[in-house]
Amino acid sequence: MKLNLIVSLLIAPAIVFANQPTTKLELEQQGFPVADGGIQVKPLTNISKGITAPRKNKILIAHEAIKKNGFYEIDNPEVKTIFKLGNQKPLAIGSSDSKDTHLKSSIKDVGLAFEFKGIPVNEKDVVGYAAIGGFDHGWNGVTQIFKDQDLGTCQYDLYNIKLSHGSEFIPQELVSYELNGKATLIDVRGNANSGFMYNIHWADNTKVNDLYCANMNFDKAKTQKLIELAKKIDKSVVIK
Amino acid sequence: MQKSIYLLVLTLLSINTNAAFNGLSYHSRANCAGFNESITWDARWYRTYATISDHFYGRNVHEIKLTWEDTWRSAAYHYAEGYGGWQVIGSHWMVDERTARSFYLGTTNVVNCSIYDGWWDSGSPKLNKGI
Repeated sequence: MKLNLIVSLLIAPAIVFANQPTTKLELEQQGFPVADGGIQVKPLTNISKGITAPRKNKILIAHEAIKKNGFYEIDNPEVKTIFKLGNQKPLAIGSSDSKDTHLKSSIKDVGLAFEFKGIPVNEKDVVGYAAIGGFDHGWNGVTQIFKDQDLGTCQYDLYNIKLSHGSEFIPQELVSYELNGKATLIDVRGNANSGFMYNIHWADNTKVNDLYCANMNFDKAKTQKLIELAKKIDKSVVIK
Repeated sequence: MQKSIYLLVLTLLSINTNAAFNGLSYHSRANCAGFNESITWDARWYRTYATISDHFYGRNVHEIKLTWEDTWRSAAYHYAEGYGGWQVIGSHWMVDERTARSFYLGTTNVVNCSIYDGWWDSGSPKLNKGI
């Protein structure tokens, strides 16, 4: 009884039960991106119903700070997360169980549902590869963790939305087209205490990408290097 | 019996071996000896998630819809069903609170409880919300 109560309390928030599936049209009306919807750039007010109005204001304030100073000053615990990921020891070559999602030494062992050869960084700098996204006869997403002398500890996430039928809304107030003309978001935030997270996000109709780099220092040159690396990655990762 | 299964599930959920969890992922499982579920999660950090889990059993159907929630793990979980014959279709979304980009990850469609190693290994990330 007590256990049931605990479980009920754990799952109680924000759950709606219905006796029919929500239709695609209803989802669109409720502001959700839907299957095969592509990449759509929309005003902030029209997207992301999950984000409250005060939060949207905070997003705009952060964006202005990044434009003005190059970063948004805030204690950023996510920097530590990337550093920790970079300190992992990957599983040995030959750990090829595709249902094992731990970090692996070889991309071949991840069990991807599509061809991915890794990104153009020195092999000696690669920490490992792991599955992300969803699984259906192989994973539709992959992440690669690596170290860069200037950028720090970095992680590249790739979601093959051609396979997953994924889609994305991107706010027009924040978007640029820095990455080979594709919808791009650049976010740098942190402080001297926590370190800084440099993040570039870009998307087209076949892939959604994130490149994160954690570094204890801020330098506009690092942001520029991040952008240049992302451009190289984008050209090298082709979804067939 | 049910209580034992429940305890097992809760135990699995609470295991923290500091194993690797490396990104945003989603899955559904059906007929797991007492539950069906659809889950969207990322042990690296908090984001805003929504997950819908539609459960089909012959002509019967019901939906568990988790509306937007600031969490690291959005679990549309249904206890006391899933003893055989169920199909679970999950739909999975994530909103990045830093930029408001809204990502539809995809759909999962399963009739079994296939589990992948690693998904339970990480405890809640020890992060502050809302950076």
